[in-house]
Amino acid sequence: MLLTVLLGACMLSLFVGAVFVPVGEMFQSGVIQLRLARILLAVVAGAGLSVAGVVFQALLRNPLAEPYVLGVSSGAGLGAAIAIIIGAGIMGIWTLPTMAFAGAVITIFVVYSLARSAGGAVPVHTLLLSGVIVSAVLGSILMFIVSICPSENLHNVVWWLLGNLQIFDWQLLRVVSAVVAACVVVTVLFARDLNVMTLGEEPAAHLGLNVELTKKMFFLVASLMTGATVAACGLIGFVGLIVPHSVRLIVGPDHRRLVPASAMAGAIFLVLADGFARTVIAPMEIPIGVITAFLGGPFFLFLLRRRKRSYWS
Amino acid sequence: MKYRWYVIGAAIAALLAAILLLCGRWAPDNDASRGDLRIVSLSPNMTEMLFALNLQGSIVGVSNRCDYPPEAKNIESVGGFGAPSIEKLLSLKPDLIITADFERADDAKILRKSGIEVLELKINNFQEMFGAMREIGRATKKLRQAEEIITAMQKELEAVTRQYSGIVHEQLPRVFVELWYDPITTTGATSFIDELITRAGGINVAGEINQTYPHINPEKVIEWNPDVIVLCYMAQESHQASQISSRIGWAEISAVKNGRIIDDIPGDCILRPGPRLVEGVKALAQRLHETTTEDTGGRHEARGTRHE
Repeated sequence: MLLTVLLGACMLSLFVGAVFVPVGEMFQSGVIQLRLARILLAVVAGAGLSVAGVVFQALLRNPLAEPYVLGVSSGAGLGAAIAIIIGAGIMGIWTLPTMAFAGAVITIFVVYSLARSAGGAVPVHTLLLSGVIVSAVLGSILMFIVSICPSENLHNVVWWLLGNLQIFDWQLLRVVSAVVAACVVVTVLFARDLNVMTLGEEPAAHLGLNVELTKKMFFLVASLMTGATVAACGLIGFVGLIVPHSVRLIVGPDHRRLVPASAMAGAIFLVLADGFARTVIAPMEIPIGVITAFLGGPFFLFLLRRRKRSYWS
Repeated sequence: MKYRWYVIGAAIAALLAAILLLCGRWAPDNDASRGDLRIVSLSPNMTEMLFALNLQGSIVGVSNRCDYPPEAKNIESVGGFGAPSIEKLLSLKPDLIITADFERADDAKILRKSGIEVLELKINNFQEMFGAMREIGRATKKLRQAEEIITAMQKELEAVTRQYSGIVHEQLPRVFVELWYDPITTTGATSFIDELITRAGGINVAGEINQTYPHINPEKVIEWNPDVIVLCYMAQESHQASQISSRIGWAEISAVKNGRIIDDIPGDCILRPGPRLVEGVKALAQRLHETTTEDTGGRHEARGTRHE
């Protein structure tokens, strides 16, 4: 069912945009190629961020967890800023995505090793705390660089941070899609373990789950997904937070259904939000993050109010 | 044992305090011998204007973005573009402060209250650029020199128009200026860059947008189908001329097909509303009209029907 809606949403947004394209010219038009690439990225990013959100919420057992909770955002932002300072010379258009991805992954690694206790276990609350602190420190370094560096281009980091689904390179899209798809598949396959993890670590261990290994694997998977989407389209807030919650309200907390449904719903949501972002004041654009928060927030509140009993337990 | 650490801590604190005090003391009283007028410029284009008026000897402070002419870099910096350190600024005892604007609106008030003349000169077109020049001339008693420079610039600009006077307006090259790539940023009708394109004998495709620096959907650029693309990022090192043509869907743009992507005009000559703007116009005009405009004809047949 969701798949049909997704296809419908993609078709719909293929037809709307800054420029009107007659149906007859559809197949040789550069505009359509451009739009198609953008819609595909929206699908990939929406699915990736939502599933990453599901994973983080389950692992950290915290309803406020989202893909950026462990400092991926500021790490990627810092990477992007450094890429802009050193210029596009070395790797061309790949410089910024690569640096952002590296920044994100390195940050996760640092947060993870900080939270690691002597025995090798990684307590969840320590992880959350070190994530928040590392994020704050990196954010301040980013602002420091922006304020002292004479390159005016750096101010564009601020725009980059607001997210933009436009993509100009098929190769980059392919790589990001492959990473996200692989991670989503892994998450779906091991969704049962996520169910067990939400019971708490001790009960999970009693049920015979290798808790630390599972945690490690899911952190890796969720971080890769987040890092890849951030590299391709900057930071798109709210998707990873509201989509999993909204879907949970509808299909229930079983991760075997929650994970694939969130992937679909996230994709639909981001495709529609982006269609909105590029048509409302066309040919100008609204940053996608503004739309996701503006549309997603009220919708989530609506779902929350409709449901009478307390929903996160 | 415990007390030792307190003593060491106190000693370090005292040392730091002493250093800070000394630094504060030393800053102000440097040479007052640079001429009667003490000027601080807080934006690069104003610094260039002051140099053009031969006032470099009177500049006692600049912003950290003031990098042209190169000698400007030797002058003491008082902070960022339009965002000075007020303390530093006052310590230089200026008579006149010139800026495009202030990041903190209250700064101007504070400075005026301490008896300093503050010129806030926003420039959105060439006329305002000449006006700013005149204003600076008046405040520095160099009005005659300012007028001379303005006349010279206007003459040069007029000479440029001769390069394309034979071409009817519809046949002028249609230009897309890209100021940044993520998100794609261009120059709308209310920017002085729009006028710069017009004066160079081009038509700004984004001139239909009534904004200064709008973010643009790349689909729109494909529809505009400009004859020439000018890459003008604020730092030269970020240029990606080769990447423009490999963007999805952009291969069919006339400028890309004909290889008319300009990325070698110094960004400051286009982006900085100062005396060098004239050089920007000259350079752009030369590049726009170096080839004959035969390739503009085809476009009108192919795509012209869809513009209304």
